This record gives sequence, C-alpha cells and structure tokens, in this order.
Amino acid sequence: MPSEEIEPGDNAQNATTPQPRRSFFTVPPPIKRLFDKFPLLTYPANELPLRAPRNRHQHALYIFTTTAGATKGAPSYNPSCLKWQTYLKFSQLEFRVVSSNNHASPSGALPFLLPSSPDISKPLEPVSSDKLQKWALNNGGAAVEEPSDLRYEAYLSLLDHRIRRAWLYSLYLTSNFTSIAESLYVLPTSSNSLVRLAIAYELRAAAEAELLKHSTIVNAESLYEDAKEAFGALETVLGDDEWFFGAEKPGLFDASVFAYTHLLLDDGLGKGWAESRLQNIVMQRGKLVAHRGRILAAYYPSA
Amino acid sequence: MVLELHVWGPAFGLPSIDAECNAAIAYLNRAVSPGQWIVVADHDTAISPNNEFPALRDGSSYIAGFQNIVQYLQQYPAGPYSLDSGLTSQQTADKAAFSAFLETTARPLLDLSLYTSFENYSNITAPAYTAILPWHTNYIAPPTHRDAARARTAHLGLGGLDVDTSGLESPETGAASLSGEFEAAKKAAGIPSDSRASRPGLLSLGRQKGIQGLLSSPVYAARFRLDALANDFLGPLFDLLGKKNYLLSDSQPSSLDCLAFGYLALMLYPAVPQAWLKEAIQARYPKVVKYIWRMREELLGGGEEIKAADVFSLTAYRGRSDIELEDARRKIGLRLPWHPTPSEPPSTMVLNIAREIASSIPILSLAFRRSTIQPSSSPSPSTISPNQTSSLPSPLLLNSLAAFSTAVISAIAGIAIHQSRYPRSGDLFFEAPREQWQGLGQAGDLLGALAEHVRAEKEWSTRWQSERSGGDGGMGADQGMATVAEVGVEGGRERTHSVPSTREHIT
Repeated sequence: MPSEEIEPGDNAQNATTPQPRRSFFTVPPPIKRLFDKFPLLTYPANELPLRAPRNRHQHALYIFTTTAGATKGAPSYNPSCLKWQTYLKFSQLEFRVVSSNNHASPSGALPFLLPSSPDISKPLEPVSSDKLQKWALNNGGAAVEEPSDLRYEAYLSLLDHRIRRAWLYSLYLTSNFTSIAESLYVLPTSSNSLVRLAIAYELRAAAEAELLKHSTIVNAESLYEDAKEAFGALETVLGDDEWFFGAEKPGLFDASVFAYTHLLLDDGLGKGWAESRLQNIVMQRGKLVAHRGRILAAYYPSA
Repeated sequence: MVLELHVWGPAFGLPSIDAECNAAIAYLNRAVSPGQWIVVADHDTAISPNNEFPALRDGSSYIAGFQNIVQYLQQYPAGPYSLDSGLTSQQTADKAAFSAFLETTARPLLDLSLYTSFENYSNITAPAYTAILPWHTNYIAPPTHRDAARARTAHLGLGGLDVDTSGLESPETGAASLSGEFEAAKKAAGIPSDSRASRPGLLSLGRQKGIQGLLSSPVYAARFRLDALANDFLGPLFDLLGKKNYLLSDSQPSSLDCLAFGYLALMLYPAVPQAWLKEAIQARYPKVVKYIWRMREELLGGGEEIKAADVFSLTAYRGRSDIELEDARRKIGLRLPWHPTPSEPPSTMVLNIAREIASSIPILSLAFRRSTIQPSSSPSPSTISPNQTSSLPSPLLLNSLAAFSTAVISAIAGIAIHQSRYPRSGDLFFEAPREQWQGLGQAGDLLGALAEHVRAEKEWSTRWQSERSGGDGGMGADQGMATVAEVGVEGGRERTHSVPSTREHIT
C-alpha cells in the first residue's frame, strides 16, 4: 500500500511544474535539434543518364548508319534508308538521324520516323516507311510534288525490281559480301563470332530466297544484263533534264535513283566493291553519275 | 537450223498456260519466218538452263526466258529476227521499263487469279494442267507453281483467297483472315470484341448474311484490295496505249506487245469462277479488251481456240516426215507449227519420278538439290583484291564443333539406349564390396606373417624345451634355431603372395 501513496505525490509534483503533454510520436528535443541541422548541403539534381532521350523537339529518323555517320548526318549505307533520308532532306524537314537496326522498328524494317511531339507525356506513333511520304506532305515545309508522268510507275518498277535484284545479288552473293556487307551489317550486331556467323548465313540465305521468288535459278549474267538495261533506260528518261521527268525540284524518284547510284559509286562503302561489275555499269552512265553528284553536293555537303 | 521452242502445253484456248510462253510463241510467230521454227508442248523442264519454260533450242544450245530469247533472236546470224529495230532510244527505254512493270505488277495478279485463289485453282488451273501433263508430272509441276505463286504474293496479305470454300459455310471460320481468327479467339475467350464487324449493327441482318456480312466474307473483303491492284497494273498500261494501235508505236508491234499480250490474255480468257480480274478489265478498260482481241489476231494469226487434245493428237505423227505433219496440222486446224513431244523412254520417266520423290524427303533432298546460283562466268577486275579476308570464323570451325557435339550427344544417346534395352539384373554397384572388411591389406599380411613367426617360434621353443627336457644335445638346438630363422624369412616373403601356401610350408 505505500506505493499507492507515493504515486499521487508524483502526480502532484508534475502538476506543479507544467510541461506540454508529450505524445508518443513527438521527437525528443535533443534529437530534434540534431535533425534540424539536416540537410547540411543540398546537391543539385543529378544529370540524366547519357542514353536518356534528348532532343525530343526534333524528328528522329531511324536508319542503318554508323554512330559517326549519325552525328554527321552522313548518307545511310542501306538503299531504302538512304532513299527516305534523301527524300526528307528534299522536303526540307528538320530531322536528326539515329543509328538503329531492324529489331528496333515496329514494322520490322528500317527506316521509320519518330515524330517530335509538343507534349512529352504523349509521344506520337512512329511512322513506317510506306507512310513517310504522306507524313512528310502533311508535316513538311516545302511540298515535294511528284510528276504526274504516266511512265512514273513503270520506271519505278525498274528500280524496285531489276536494279534491286542485281543489287541483292552483287552485295550478298558475291565477294562483295566479305568486303561490304560483312563490315556494315554483320560485325556491328554482335561481338560473338558464332552469332556473327549465324547472322551472315541468314543474310545470304534471305537474299537468295528473295531472288528465287522470281526465278527458279539465280543467274548472275541475266541479273547484270537486266540491271544494265535498266540503268540505260533510266539515263534515257533523265535525258538532259536536271531532275527526273523534267521536274523543277528533286522528288521521290530522284531519291530512289540516288539511293542506288550513290552507294554503287561510293568507294568508301565498307572496304570497297570487290566485285565491281554493277559499279562499272553505273559509271558508264554519265548522266546518272552527274545526277548523283548534284544531289550529293546540295544535300550532303559534309559527305 | 530450225529453232525449237519448248513451252508448257495449251490451255484456256491459248497456246500455253504460262504467260511468258504465250509471249514467246507470239514473238516467234511474228518475227521468225514460217518453217524456220517449231513449237513443242513439253513438260520436262530439266532441259532448260533455268528450269523453266519457255526455252528456245538452237542446235545444242538452250536459251531460257522471254527476255533472253528476244535478245538472242535480235542477234541471230541468219537475218536478225527483231520486232524492236524501228524503236527510238526513248521507246527502247520505255520498253525496258514496261517489261519490268509487267513482271512486277501483272505477274502477282496472275498468281492471285490462277494459283492462290483456291476456287480458281481447283476448278480451272489444276484441270488445265492435267490435260497437258503426263500423269507423274501432274503431281509435281502444278503444286510447285502454286507454291511459287504463293511465295510471290505473300507480301500482299491476301491469304483470305486461299481458302477452301467449304470453310465458308460455318460462320466461325467465315472470316478466315488473320483478323477473323483473332476475333474468333477473343470471342472464345470471353473478351469483348471491339471490332466493328463483330458488333451487331444496323447492316448485319443475321449471321454473315447482311451487307456487312457479305462484304466481310474473304472474297469481298479482298475484292477492294484486288481491284486496287488490278487498277495499279491496268491504269498505266491504258495510259501508255493511249490512242495508239500498239503500246509503243502506231505502226508495228514490238516485243513489249508480245509480253503484254502474254499476261493480258491469261487475265481475260480463262473462265474462272472468281472473275474479279476479268471483270476489272471488261468493266473499266474496254479499250484494253479490244487491244487483246486485236493482238490475238495479229500475233497468233487467228482467234480460234487451241485445244490441248488437238495438239497432243499430233503424237501419232511422231517420227513422220514434216509434210505429213503439216497435212495433219491443217486437217486439225492448227496454225502454229506444233510438233509432237519427243517420246520419253520409260527409264527417264522412272528416274524422274525417283528424283522427285527423293527431293521431297527432308535429308535425302540435300543430296539431290541442284545448285540454284549460277555465278557470273567473267568476274570483272577490281581495284581492290577480291580475296578479302573475312573477319568471321571459318565455317570449318563451326562444322567441326557441330560434328564434335553431335558425336558426344550420339555417344550418350547410344549408351542410354543400350542401357534401356539390356538392363542389368540387380542393383548397379560402382565398386564391388570387399569380402574381408576386417583385413588391413598388405599391412595385415605382414602382421599376420609376424604373428605366424611368433607362433612358430613359440612352438619350436616349447618343442625344444621338451626335447631338452628329454635330454637332447646342444647341437640339435642350434640346428633347430637355424631352421626356424630360415622358415621365418621364407614365410615372410611368401606371405606377400598368398597366405595358404605359407601355411602349408609351415605346417
């Protein structure tokens, strides 16, 4: 019972020296004083990692190119990428070039374009290559008008069929594969030699399968003859005009022709053309060589 | 020397079932004087350098493909057989461009119309092949052509045409396109479909029966795409024709007219059930229809139908003289210089059949596959050395690696199979248990020998003691001791070999 008597006494003592009622959660004053000193120093926000996307205000065209080529805006080493890269330059759109590969593309094939969006939180849909022309017309500054020549489609099929097949054969199924395709398409993809070997095999098999779609036998002579005839026809239709079909300004057709002629005439492609038969065919066509030179000088001054 | 043109046989009233063959026949009929060429309805493509018809035989050399044949005839020594000599350079360029254009646009259209579309293929194309091929080739050539046509048209995404019509009966598989399957799968999984076609709307008056149902059936859904494709081909051709008589000039046909006729005739004349291509030409381009009729008259020399049975009835005149053959042709009413197919010895037939069967068996086919790439015979010299060293590992490394791993895997598999086939009776022990666990090995033997030695010594000493007590001489004791030492050494040596023999010695 004495303990009971003491307790009221304690209470009385507390009451005489009134203190603010402390809850369980209140920080004890010494610790609070210590923590009041924090933070001792506020650092500035960390920078974004190097690979974080920047330049969101610019359209980005994803193409096959080297890292150095991407910063310089050099021409791509892939014909269909170079065609659209050149076309976008014709339409005077501001865009930057990003080095990429087929796995990055939503459609499975390069090129594609990631449009800049005013609102970063709502990115726009990527534009695949078959819709690039329409997109450029809707968003472009200078409209590139296409000549309404009735032969336009026919001459385009020369490029897409005859010349493309000779290109596929020459690049993938001759010694050019070692000197050009290997260093451009195979070596950058992986550092593992077995993976590289598998990719090289797949590339060649795909090229062969594509060529076998249109004939049961891939005959080099007839492919080169067809390409020779096609380049001859293209030179004839260009004639003495500056651009194809007598247009005022270069258009998609000029870009398509340039995509092949430039790469065939470019000695710095890979390690150079080891089997130069297709290159010689183009070299004999002086007007096409001049046409390529005009575009290169006006739109790729750094290259 | 008479030029010999080998083609696929006649079909649909046309000289051949193939577009390029028709074009080649038209070209030779127009360019080469009669009597200088013959045409053979053949089926063995092995004679052709590119495994396809048309193939032109001149003596011992063969030229394959329409473009190559035209080029060859233009440089033919016995009076150049050319239709393109009067063309300007601009027209020559147009000819090259539109030839490529025909190949890229007309070829897929024919593929879709005659091969990919199941209804047309099974009702029209396959029976036409049956009429012109011997029984064994009929199992090989048409499916090969169909597969090639499918591969060429795969990128167009019109697989909906390639559907068995019986599948159309059930509404679930009605839209057999990819999206149709996707919607059906969604419905089956109970996910609300957001496709307009599956939502009950005003236009759908029942299951696949309303206008929307009709339009979403594969034939009509594809119809819009097909019409667009047909327009892509016919529009530019129509523009090129313009008001001219022929595609390039107004005065005379060119090789381009022959090629265009080859493709267009196969679009217009076959009486296919799904006649979208025929209708597209007839409804929107009547001028093109008139052009086809005129070309048939001018290039083939008459619009009458060519029947496969008539052409193959000429086989009865095999080996007869040309005059008899000429009479027979006139009697039947064949204007083109048809010749009977050369007889095929049974051994060749059996060999061909065996080769075809072997080439469709997965691993055997590797041995029978013909090389599909014919590299250029004269590689052009280059400024850089052609023997660039590849930085890839050589395929030899990969092959040896593969061979090694295959060997290892097959060895393991072989052991496993052996084990499962001849299982061991009883448990498998990796080490047989020892019979004497208590033994200490060689040390035990040595100790044992020592123990024997001690025992023998004790025995001898007791015997000696008993003899001594029996009054024996010191001489005997000495002798006895020597014998014990001898036995001990000998026993120790022997013991390391076998215990029982030592025991025999001692006891």
